[in-house]
Amino acid sequence: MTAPVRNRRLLIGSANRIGTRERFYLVADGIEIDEIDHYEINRRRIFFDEIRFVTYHRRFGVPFLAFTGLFAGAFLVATMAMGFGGSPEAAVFTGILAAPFLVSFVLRLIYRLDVITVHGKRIRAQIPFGIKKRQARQLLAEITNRTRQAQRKIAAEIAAETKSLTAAGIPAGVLSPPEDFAHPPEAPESEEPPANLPAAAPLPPE
Amino acid sequence: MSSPAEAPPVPGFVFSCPHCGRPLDGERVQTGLCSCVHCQGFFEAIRLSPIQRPIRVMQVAQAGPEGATACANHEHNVSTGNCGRCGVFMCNLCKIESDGMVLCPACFDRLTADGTLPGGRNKIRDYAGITSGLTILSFLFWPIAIVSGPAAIFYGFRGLRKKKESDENDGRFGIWCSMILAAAVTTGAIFLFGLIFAGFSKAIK
Repeated sequence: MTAPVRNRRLLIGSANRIGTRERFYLVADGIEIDEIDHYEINRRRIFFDEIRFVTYHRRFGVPFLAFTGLFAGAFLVATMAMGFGGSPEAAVFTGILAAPFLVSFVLRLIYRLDVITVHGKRIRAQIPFGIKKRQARQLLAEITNRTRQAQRKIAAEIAAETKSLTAAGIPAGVLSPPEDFAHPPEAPESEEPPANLPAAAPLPPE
Repeated sequence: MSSPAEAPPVPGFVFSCPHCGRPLDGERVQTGLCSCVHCQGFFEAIRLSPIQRPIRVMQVAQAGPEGATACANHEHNVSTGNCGRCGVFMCNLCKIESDGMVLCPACFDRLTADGTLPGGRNKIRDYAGITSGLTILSFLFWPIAIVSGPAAIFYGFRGLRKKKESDENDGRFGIWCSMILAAAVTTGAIFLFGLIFAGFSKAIK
């Protein structure tokens, strides 16, 4: 008896945008996107066999820069005001408050945000990476390799299936039904009988 | 470096710029460095080749009288199997493979609606979020911690079980921290209530 294959979900990234929080997981057959909406998770999937493009780009992330810049600026102005106003303890306190915002702002300006975008058939996943550039590159290679493997596997399966059908003397093209075969259009129902039918004969008297 | 043109207004897959999100002609995007015609942003693209698996359906008339069992939904199609739940004959068009089962569309819809088919579920409760929310609520309004604290611990255990079931590797530490804090706040609330009750009974005597 073989052990059941466990569908391990590996967290590969997360994105906190204005109003939405997303988490990205790598699973055996694709990428799962968990969009956290209050206390509910909306799960979407991009399967490896349907990925058309994987792109990699770098950007600043204007909302983040605006947020951290505004707070850093405000606290720095307060620090300067306190410093020149003769209350160094308050200046130190506001300076400490400004530090995380300032560090985040400067780090983003230096490193920027690397984003891997996976374009599926219907949806796309944008996985951001702040300072883990090497991890982003490794993930890009991993997704590309897995996608190529999945797509090669399907191509091989289709080729083998076509070969076996051809060997059995069944042309593969014949088996595919026309597009309207699976769901033929329904004839419109009308209560009135068609005009070209002969009129019904009168019932014989009892 | 390739520079894809603006996407033609045709239905189907449209490649959108990863920078600005506006549509581009995916046919002209090649592997390598590309730039968007709208925002002039650069991006590296890797072009892959998804293959649509063809659905082959044999018709009853082609199969001959011996090998012809008609599909329950499509009378002209030869059935290629039975539903794993209700046993109805189904052709390749009707066959849905999910979570190691082969199902007909009706059974797939039913199991998805019931929530018993994990692969068909798209909405899941965020137990980790509920746990942390209840813990914060307990901190903010300690008198209700007697109820919200145990509830946070309950949902925390459910969240841990869910993570174990789906084999997730993240978020367990956060759930444990929330549960420990919830337990601490609940204990504190019980202690405070005890003190109040003791003081109150002393005052009555």
